[in-house]
Amino acid sequence: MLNSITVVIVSFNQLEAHGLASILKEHYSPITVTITTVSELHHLNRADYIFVSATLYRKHKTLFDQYHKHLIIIDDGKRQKAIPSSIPKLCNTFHESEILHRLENIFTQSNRTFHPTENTLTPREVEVLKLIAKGFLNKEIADTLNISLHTVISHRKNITRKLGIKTVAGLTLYALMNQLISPRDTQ
Amino acid sequence: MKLITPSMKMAEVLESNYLLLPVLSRFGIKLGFGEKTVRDICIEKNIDIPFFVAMLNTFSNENYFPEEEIHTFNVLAIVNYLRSTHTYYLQTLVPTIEQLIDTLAQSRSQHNRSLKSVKRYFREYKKELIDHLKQEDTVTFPYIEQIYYAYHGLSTHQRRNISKEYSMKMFKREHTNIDEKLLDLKNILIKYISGEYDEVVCNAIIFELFRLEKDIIDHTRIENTILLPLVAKMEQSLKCMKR
Repeated sequence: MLNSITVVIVSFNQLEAHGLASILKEHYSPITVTITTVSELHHLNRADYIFVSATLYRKHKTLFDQYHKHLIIIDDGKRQKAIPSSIPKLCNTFHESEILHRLENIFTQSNRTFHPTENTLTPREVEVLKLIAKGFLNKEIADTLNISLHTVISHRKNITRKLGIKTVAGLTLYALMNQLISPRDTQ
Repeated sequence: MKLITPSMKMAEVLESNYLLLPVLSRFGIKLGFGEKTVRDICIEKNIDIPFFVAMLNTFSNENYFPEEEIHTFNVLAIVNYLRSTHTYYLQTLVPTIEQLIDTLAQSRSQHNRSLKSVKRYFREYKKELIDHLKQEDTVTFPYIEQIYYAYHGLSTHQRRNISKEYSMKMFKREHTNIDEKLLDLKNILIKYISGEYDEVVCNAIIFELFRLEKDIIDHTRIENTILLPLVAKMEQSLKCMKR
C-alpha cells in the first residue's frame, strides 16, 4: 500500500484547522487528516502526528502528554507558558513557506522513520501513474492533465525512482494492487 | 567468491554455490561426483574444460570475464549451452513459478483480488519470454550456425546460403531486456503485497523469481559479451573473403 501519514488536528478554530489540513494534503499526500475536538479521542491512537491548539493542550495536558512523541502545538506565538520546550510548535501567524519549512523539520526530525517526500507519490504523480496504468501515452497524459510533455517525463522518472518499478507492466500491476485503477481499466 | 578451477573437486564446486546445479545439468553432468575433479568429469563427458569452467565462473561471479580463453571457445558450444538454458526456463523454472502463482491466486486469499493481477502479469510475461526465446531459437541461433559452418567449412555454396536479412548488428539492436519485468514483479511482491496471502507459497515464488532473474541475467551476459563479439568477428572475416 501507499505509505500514508495519518494526522489528527485538534482545534476549535475551524479556519486554523482547515487551513493546516489543506496545506498538509497538498504537500504530503497520501495523507489522512482528521479534524476533531477533544470529544473524539479514539482518533489519537492511530495518528502519526497530532496537531493541537495551545489552548486545548493546556486544558487537557495530562491527556495529550500521553502522546507527547506525536504532538505538535499550534500557537499564536504569544502564550508559551506550560508548554514543554521538547514539543515542536507551529505558529499560526507564519507564512505558508515558513509553515512548510517547519513541517519538513518536524517530519524529518521526529522519532518515527517517516520521510514523506522521499518515496511517497505526490497527488500529481498518482494521477500520472493512473494514466500510465490505463495505457495512456506520454502525449495523451500531457493533454489530459494539461501539462507539458517535459513535465510528464519528469513525473515518470520520479515515479520509477520512488517505487523502484521500471516497466509500464510493473507500474500497472502496482496500480492494480493498490486499487488506483480497476482491472477493467486495463482492458 | 573464489574462482573455480579445473583441479577443484566437483562436489566442492557445488558446495561453494549450489545454484550451479542446473548449470551442470545443462552440460549433461549428473550427481554422484565422488572425489572426481572438474577436469576428470569434463574428460569423461567430453566437455571443453576452459569453456565449462568459464561458464561456471560467469554464473557465479557477475564481474568475471574469460578474457584469455574467449577466443578458444567454440561458438556452437555456446549456442548449445544457451539453447539448453532456454529449455530449462520453459520446461522447468517458468512452469514452476506459474504453478506457484496459480496456487497463490487461488488459495485462502480468494478475496485478495490483487493476486489475480499478479497471475495475469506473469502470464503476459511468460508470453513475452517465449517469443524472445523463440526468436533466438529460430532466427539468431540458426544464423550463427550458418556463419560458423561457412567460416570453418568455407564452401562457397554454404556462404551463399547465409541470410542477408539478418546480422549480429540486428541482434544487438533488437535484443531486448527480458529481465526488467521480472525484476519489477519481484520488487512489487517484496515491497507492496498486502492483505491476506499464503506466505509459504509467496516465499517460494520469490525464491524462484530470484533464481530465474539471475539465470536470465547470466544468459544475456553470455550472449552480449561472449557470443556476440565472437560471431561479429566471423561475420567480418567472411565479408572480407567475399571481396
